[in-house]
Amino acid sequence: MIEKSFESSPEFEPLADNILVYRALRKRWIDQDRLIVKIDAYYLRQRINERGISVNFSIEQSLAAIRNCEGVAGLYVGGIRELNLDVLRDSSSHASIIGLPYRENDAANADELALLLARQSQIVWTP
Amino acid sequence: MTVANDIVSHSISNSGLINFRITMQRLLELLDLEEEDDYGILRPTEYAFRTAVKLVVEAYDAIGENFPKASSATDELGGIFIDWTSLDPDRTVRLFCPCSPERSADIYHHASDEYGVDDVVSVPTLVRWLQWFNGQ
Repeated sequence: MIEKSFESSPEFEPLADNILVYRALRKRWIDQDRLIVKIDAYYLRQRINERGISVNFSIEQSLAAIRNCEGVAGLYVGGIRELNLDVLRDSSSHASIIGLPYRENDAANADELALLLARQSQIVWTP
Repeated sequence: MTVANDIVSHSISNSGLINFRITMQRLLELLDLEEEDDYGILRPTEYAFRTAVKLVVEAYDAIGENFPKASSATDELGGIFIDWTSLDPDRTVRLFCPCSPERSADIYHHASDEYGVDDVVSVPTLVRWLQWFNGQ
């Protein structure tokens, strides 16, 4: 696992478990047969030393997060923590899901955690 | 009744072919994507595409009418993931075809009570996991 070496900005309170966070989705991150979120949405990118999965606090913020947003998924902070991960807020509009391994280092756990995050995710917006 | 049975039989015998065609079509669609977006590469590398097509075609040759339908996506480096997913029963098989030969292909499997990754991918390995996926 990646060390949880970065922390929430001190001006922000820890997020409550009942907070819903939103993940912007690329087209290929959505299973078109069942309209569910795919595993692909929850991999860290080792290429850029990505430390956490970006999430936002509103659908509108997620729509602005990536150029070709084809959907937005919502999931609860408490559900993420049940996987021994955490969500740390670093601005008024952005937080990171931390604790995931890079797939290049630990494919089995990266895949499993990504799948469990995907299964928790509910698509709340599509074009 | 005979006609109905013939239709059902025809449908069953063609389901693997239909699933194979859908799976191949989805792989081909990856080639039409923009080269990259602000997240990373969208279009697969030639190496990833060739690897994926070879494994899928040969797995279909081995499994035939039981070949299940898959979806596909690229990783941020141009590798390809191919997913066979069932929610009930809870089973997933996920084939990873890397962007270049410096990395190895692998297969992840998940069920409600187990998961793991096989690092060395061959057609028999993929066929074995697809048969597991089918409950065979």
